[in-house]
Amino acid sequence: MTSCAEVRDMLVDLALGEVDADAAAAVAAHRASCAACEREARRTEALLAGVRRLAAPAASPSFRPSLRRRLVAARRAEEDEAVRRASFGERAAAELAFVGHRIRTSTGLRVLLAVAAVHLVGLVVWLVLGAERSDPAPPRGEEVVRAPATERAPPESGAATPEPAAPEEAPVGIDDRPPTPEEFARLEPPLPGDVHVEPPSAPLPSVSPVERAARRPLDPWPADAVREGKELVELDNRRVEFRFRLRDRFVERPDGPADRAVRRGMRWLVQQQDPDGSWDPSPYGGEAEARVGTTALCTLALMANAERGVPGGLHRAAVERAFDYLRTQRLEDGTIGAVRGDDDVVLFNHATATLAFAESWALRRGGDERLLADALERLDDLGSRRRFRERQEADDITAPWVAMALETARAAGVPAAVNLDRAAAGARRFVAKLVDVDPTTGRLLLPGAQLCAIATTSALDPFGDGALDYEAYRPSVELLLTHLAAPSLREPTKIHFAALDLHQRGGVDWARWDEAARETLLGVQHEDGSWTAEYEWDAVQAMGGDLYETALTLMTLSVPQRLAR
Amino acid sequence: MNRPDSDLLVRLRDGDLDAFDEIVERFERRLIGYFRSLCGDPQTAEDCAQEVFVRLYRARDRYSPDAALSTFVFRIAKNYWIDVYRSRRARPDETSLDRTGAEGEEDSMADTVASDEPGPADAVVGVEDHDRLRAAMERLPEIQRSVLALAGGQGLKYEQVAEVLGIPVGTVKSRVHAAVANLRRLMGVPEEASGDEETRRNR
Repeated sequence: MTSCAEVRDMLVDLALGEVDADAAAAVAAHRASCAACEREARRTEALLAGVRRLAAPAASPSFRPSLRRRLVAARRAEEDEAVRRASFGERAAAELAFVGHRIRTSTGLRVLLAVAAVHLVGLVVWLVLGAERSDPAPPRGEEVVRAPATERAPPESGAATPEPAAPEEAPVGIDDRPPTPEEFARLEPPLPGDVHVEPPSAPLPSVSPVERAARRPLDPWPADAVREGKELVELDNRRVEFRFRLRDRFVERPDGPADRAVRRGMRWLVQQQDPDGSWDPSPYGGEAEARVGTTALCTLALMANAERGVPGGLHRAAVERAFDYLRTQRLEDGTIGAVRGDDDVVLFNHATATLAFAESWALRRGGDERLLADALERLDDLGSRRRFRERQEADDITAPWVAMALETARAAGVPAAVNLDRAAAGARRFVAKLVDVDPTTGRLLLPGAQLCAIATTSALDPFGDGALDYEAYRPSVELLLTHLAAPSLREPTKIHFAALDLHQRGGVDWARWDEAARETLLGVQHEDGSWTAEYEWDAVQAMGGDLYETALTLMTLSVPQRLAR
Repeated sequence: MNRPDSDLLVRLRDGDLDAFDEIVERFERRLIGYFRSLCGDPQTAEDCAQEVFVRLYRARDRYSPDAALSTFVFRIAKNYWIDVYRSRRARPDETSLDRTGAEGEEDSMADTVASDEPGPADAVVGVEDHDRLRAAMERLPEIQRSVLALAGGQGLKYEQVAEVLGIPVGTVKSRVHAAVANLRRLMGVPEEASGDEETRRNR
């Protein structure tokens, strides 16, 4: 006879079909004679039935279409990979055939081959003897990246053959194979006035870890911003590398859809540049006073293309002309692009110009030191005198650039008289004030314009005091995706900083954002490569309409290629 | 063993894309439900389910007919969940049911979830109880929630759950039992005194 205890012990397994027929029969017999166990059995069955009903909710209407897009992307990626492998195989076969022919026909090459064989034997001997490597591995946690040289020797300089560059961890989505000369030539032909930069015939010089560390002074991380000891190393390296992963390979793949879109956009931007190197926003409905700021953003967008370590790549000349123009706009007090009567535009011009110079300094490891030091001091002054006034919408478009410029300079180690730690922290606090939090629930109140502030705060300091924990941040991700999809809500500054932040966070949020952003933004690009500003907010129009929209969209699309994670 | 689903992935492996549509049809709601039980958020659950389908597509060449399709699918789902959410902070509700709150708080977490109304003692869990049941599920420790989601929610056998999660069958069984017991406490479903106990009391 089966006891109640034995039966009770089997009820869950019985409800889940894990009990054999004999045991099930015994339980059934007991239940027929024991009302208490019968009730227990029914409760268990009801509970598990409820669990089963929860387990198969209906999908939303967007599920299948979204899945279809992802599958198409996955298939496309597979096809691209197959093409790349096939292309590489064809080239390798052609190279081998060529080398074989030359060896057969050239005495000199046969001699060279023999010498190479001797060296190979020597290398094997060296390895067997276990000689220590002379170049120690970089410290744990430090990414091995190729630091930009301050001055790159042109291929025809006759300089000695430099050492091979240190291997660089390929960012997500980037084909880490440099474009071959043939691929380079297949890119759209240069525009009139472009300086076509030939890829160097030899690999770029490397920088030893010791030298790299010396060039990159690391300020001690504030103790109160450190959550755990290990975060210090990760945060420190990430912060320093935040903006300055060497952008020597722009192309995702030579013919990727995003590449084509961004190249078209860059060409359009270069075509709009005035002879003096500036971009005038007024033909696009913008205010003429914002010319400096618009120029700075267009310059930043072009600087994402930095083939072979040359900022601007194919559009290097346009970038140089732009910086020449920006230098002419500097006043004695250090302000770049001051205009009368509009504090917002003054700050916009100055902050974006400072950011452009700071990025250039970081890429080249030098240049315009005096200008930049004065600009940073002035930026700190202008920014700190700006008072937070509730619902001053222009703060949403200027404050993030102020914070970005100071943070960029701080992270790069730009020499400055002003305390960049303090200044950058102050800018972030200002931006954080733009975020409203419901005091009762701790959840974010998300008026659309404040999303920019949220994204900025989180992007610049994802683990800092101004950042948001994951649960509070999640609703903003959903809202950002909604705003991305709606033209009237797709404010480009917000979208750019959202991309910045989500890229830093990675994971499923970034995957969702990246897919949606590419599909949306590539889908609304004009044939000529530009994007149209559909957001109705006056401030965006004032900053340059389509110029602003195009520059920001290019920066958004190239976030993965520009920034380290 | 009867594995009618296994033909689908074999067909997909061999290039039949219609088979993939059928796989989506069969596992769409199940995967969403599985992830919903893990993360509690419907949108995230759908995103995760989509990603699993994409991974399933990419991994189609690695499918072996020796494994049941559901085991294969949920193993991918489980691994994806671990990959994506490994770095997430611990969910605030992943604590012992008997842990009390801060000093001065009388109620345990179980008391917080259980309502003052009598639980569904004899009735089938009604629509109004679904929210409470979902909330209770979300407050289970994750190791219990994941086995219950697979065994109770998705109807996987203990052996399949063990294979998906990489744990012994005995561990699956004990965790399922513990999960159900905790759910009952959270839902306020009292345990009926056994007939043996009543007999002893009446003597």
